[in-house]
Amino acid sequence: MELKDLKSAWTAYSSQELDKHQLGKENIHELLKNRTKTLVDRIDRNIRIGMAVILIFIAYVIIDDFYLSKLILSESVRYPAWMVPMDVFSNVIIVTTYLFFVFRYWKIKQSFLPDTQLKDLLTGILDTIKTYRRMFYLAVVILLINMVVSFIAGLYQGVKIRTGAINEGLESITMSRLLIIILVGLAFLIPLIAGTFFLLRWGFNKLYGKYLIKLNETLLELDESDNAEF
Amino acid sequence: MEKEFLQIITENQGIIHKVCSIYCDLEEDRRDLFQEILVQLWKSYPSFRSESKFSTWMYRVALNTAITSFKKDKRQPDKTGVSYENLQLAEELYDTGAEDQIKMLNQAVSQLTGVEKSIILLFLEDKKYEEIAEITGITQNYVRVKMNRIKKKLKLLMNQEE
Repeated sequence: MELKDLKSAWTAYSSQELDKHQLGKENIHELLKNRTKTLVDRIDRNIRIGMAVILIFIAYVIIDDFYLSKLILSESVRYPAWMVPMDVFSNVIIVTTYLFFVFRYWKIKQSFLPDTQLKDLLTGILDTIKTYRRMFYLAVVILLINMVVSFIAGLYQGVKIRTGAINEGLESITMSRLLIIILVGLAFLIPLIAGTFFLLRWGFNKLYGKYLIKLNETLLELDESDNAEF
Repeated sequence: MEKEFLQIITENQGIIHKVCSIYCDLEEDRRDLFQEILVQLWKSYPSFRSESKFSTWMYRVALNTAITSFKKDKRQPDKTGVSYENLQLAEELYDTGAEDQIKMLNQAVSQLTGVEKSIILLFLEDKKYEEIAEITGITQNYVRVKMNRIKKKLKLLMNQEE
């Protein structure tokens, strides 16, 4: 069968389709009220979710610093002053990284129209998410280092307080006891760090990671025109 | 502006139905895509400046939306099968020859990529290479090259089915 024969079949089929699915103005108006789920719309939605997560994170940090820490720690325990700038640095990195991502994404969306500059828009979004992924993992590494240092400092403080309570110094701890303290510490620290890392990675992939694949696939198709063999 | 938009879309809704037919096998997916295209058209409507024909602009927005539409894996149609909906519709066509042709066309088209589907749709709609290039945003030369490849691919696919 020749392809030209298909044109008449297609015309008959598409007019049959139109008759079957023809919508009135009211139906079209009704459909317009509802949300859609294109790739860009979904990324938009997830950026809003990410923003909510960041706001919750900021709220948690504030509550933790000004309320929870004071509630949990007894007056005899003092939070090491040298850890404050480290905490602030780690939190600021997480928040600024995300704000940078949102700002860049917003600029890309303002610069290109989806109906006429789809390829440029998708390329821009893809580059922005890729850059954010690198920055996100850098921020995660900084956060995890901060957690490790905080944990070790807390462990040290705990042992110091316990030995102080029985009027002994740190030097009184035997090697076997020190080894047990280190092993117990590691038993808590390793799952904590691994769990945090995998949770953050899962969160990133859930919000943005899966769209990297879809964006790449779509761009690959659109890019065919650039790599065409004439 | 909304009234004007509704009027013009109601008159030209055939374009959206055609795009949905070529991109989706399942009725549910078609409904979703129809809605997605509609909302994208509404969002892009303020940027339409009558530099091109309305139908050209509408095809462009509809095809770009179809290419970037996000379907969950479980609802992606079987690439080798023909949908029940399309078969049923084809059966309703009085001409047996046309019915077979539609079956074959659906089967073959479902195996094309998103961009290929847009080009074959415009070809079936009797659009000139110049207009296909304008709608898809690729050069006329490349449309020719791509069209030849699609024709060969479709012939091969349909001959396998015959």
